[in-house]
Amino acid sequence: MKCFRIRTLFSAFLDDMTDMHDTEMIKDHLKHCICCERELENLKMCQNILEQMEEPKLPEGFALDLHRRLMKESCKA
Amino acid sequence: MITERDLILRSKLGETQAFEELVAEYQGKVYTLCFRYMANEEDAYDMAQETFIKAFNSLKSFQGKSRFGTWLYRVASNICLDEIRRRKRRISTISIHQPLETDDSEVEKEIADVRPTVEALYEQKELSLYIQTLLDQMKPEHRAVIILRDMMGLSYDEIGEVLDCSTGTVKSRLSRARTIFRNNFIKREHLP
Repeated sequence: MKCFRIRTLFSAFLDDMTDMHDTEMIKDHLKHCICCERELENLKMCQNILEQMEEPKLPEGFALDLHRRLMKESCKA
Repeated sequence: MITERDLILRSKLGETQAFEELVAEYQGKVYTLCFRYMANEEDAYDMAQETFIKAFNSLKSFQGKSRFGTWLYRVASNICLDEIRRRKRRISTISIHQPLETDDSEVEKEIADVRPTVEALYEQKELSLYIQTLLDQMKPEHRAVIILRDMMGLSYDEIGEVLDCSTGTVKSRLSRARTIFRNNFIKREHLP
């Protein structure tokens, strides 16, 4: 199995979205391919960084602003 | 006890108070989603406000086939992606230095080096800014799947509902988007 084909499955593999056949194929390949193993680690690292990004705080006054705008909208209707 | 369904029904009749109650718990998430797309507080604020106003005005089209939160994400994503595309079109007509996402099938242009210092990268704020910059350089459809999956934690099915495409398309688009993101990230970090 070529590395290219295996790597196209990595994204789904990280999300447990590969079927049993593909999952086994990937696991087998990783046992003897250090390059693909490193590639998977890199993808995982990027995924972790994205997941751990701090959530921005909702600015104060957002709900009040929305309330005012909704009032205007309901007057239009 | 008042359920979400009750609030939706009353909101559909134009009750603003019911609508405010309905969306109260989604305000933070919708603002976060808009912030991921727009990469700055001011635009995120405007897009999130716009999302709720549009949702209020078009609530009649919500038939309950998806979760209400997913439907809101769809409204927010459409508003943000339309704005991003509109701005990209405008920029592309006035600048040849527009950063393009790096992709084997596309012409790679010189991208301005916005890389912060290595030390600074360890600061969460700098890292966030850096990640946002990388996302900003991606095609809107690639940016969208990464934001919805890796940053907002939606399932493939939910992403399909938000972006109005099949789960298969989500799968392939996400794979491509992650590879592009990884390549750009690693290239700048000089990692193996």
